[in-house]
Amino acid sequence: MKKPVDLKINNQTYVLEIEPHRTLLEVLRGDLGLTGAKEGCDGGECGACTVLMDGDPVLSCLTLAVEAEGREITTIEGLATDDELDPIQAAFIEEGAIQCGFCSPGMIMSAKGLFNRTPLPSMDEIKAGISGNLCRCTGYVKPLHALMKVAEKNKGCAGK
Amino acid sequence: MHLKPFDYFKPATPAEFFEIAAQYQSGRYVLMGGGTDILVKMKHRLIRPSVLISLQAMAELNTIEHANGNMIIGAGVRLRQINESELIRQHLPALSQAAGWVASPQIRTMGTIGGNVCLDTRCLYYNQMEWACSFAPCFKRGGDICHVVKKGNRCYALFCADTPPALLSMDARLIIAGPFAKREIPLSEFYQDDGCAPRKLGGNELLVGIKIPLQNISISSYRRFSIRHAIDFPVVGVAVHLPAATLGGHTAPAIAATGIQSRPIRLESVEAALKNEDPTQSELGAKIEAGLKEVRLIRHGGISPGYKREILKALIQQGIQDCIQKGDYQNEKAG
Repeated sequence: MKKPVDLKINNQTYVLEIEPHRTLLEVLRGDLGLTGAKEGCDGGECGACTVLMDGDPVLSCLTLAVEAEGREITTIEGLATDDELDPIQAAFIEEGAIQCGFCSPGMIMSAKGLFNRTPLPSMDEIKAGISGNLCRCTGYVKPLHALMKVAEKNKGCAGK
Repeated sequence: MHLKPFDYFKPATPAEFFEIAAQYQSGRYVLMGGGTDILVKMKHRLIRPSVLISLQAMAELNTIEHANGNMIIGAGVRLRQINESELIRQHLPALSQAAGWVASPQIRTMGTIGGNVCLDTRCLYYNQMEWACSFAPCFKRGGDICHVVKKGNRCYALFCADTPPALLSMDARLIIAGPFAKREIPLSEFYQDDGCAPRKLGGNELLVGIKIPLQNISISSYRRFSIRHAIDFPVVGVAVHLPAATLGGHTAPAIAATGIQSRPIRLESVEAALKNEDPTQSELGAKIEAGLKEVRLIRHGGISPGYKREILKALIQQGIQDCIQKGDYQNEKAG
């Protein structure tokens, strides 16, 4: 039986009726057209479906959509403003940190969660922060460089 | 893979939970803490519950209290909170480390300590999509054969959660609520060596918290060996806790392990072998080895019991070293 659920996604409230067995990922992609979060393994192993819930990264494939009520959800679509990319997205582009791009939204959201808590992470902290995201193009080095670049920029800002 | 439809409840208090649970036979419903294990099993069609009761709205399961010489951790506290809590890091370092080893940042944000303590056993022949499994049904799938232990007369699936050995080494107790009363049991009595039913939790009971006595427990360590560093279960994990008296060489360290049987266990034979030994001496290896000979180990995904024994020995030695470095043993000895 469907349940009425208000979901707050990317600062916008969606009034929905959702069956309890549907995952947040299914609702994001299927009902709301927010296809940035990807369905990879669908079992908690790849991190491609990562979104932020109250600022921390979670797996939307293992979150029931009804459980997301009352929480602040941020997807990759919510990072950029109309005319400006998020610094993490910009750094990924500058460093060419994308191959097929399937893991990129999840990896960027994990990194966003990391920077929310730790604005000046070390390389080890960055590696730990994206350790829940698999890239099957094996392209970890450039994302790490991109994220170090963001950390260095934050350091510059903090120093000013 | 889509989940099959189920009836969904989200009680806000244990009382509400018992009201809902009373309407259903236990076995028809499943409890969901963080959902990171139960939803995977449901997607794989390993279980097909008709009712799912979410525990995520129970605020009273979400607290960490430090009072009267005990740390009481609510069953709903997330693994990430446990890993990052300064209070736990200071008083229960092995627990903080163990929580930090679980899976990935995302799963630690979602998963709860209660869920980790109650985690189901795992087996290569069980944790697969139902349709991908071409073997005859094993005990855990409702059949009458074990593919791991040939001629085995029960399920030998392995218990692989990270936090229970840390809790076992610290003599943790579980607070379990029933419809009419609460009871407290030692964590070691909560488990049994049966892969099909590793937990002894009665129908309509609810794990509400974990109580850890705080006497002299600041010197502890958890180490594990896994095939992958992240998003993986341990092949074996070992918690070592050196009570302060041990540092004087008078009593035994507490050592517990995961990944070796269908339940997490205290390695009593190793503890006995190390009793009254000076933990800083260099010949501990042979004594640990002698103690480990009495521990029965189960093969795990191609990793032989002999190899596991070697890993266990190394992890125990490293854990003791961690404790010595953390503790003031050298100072005490010098003093």
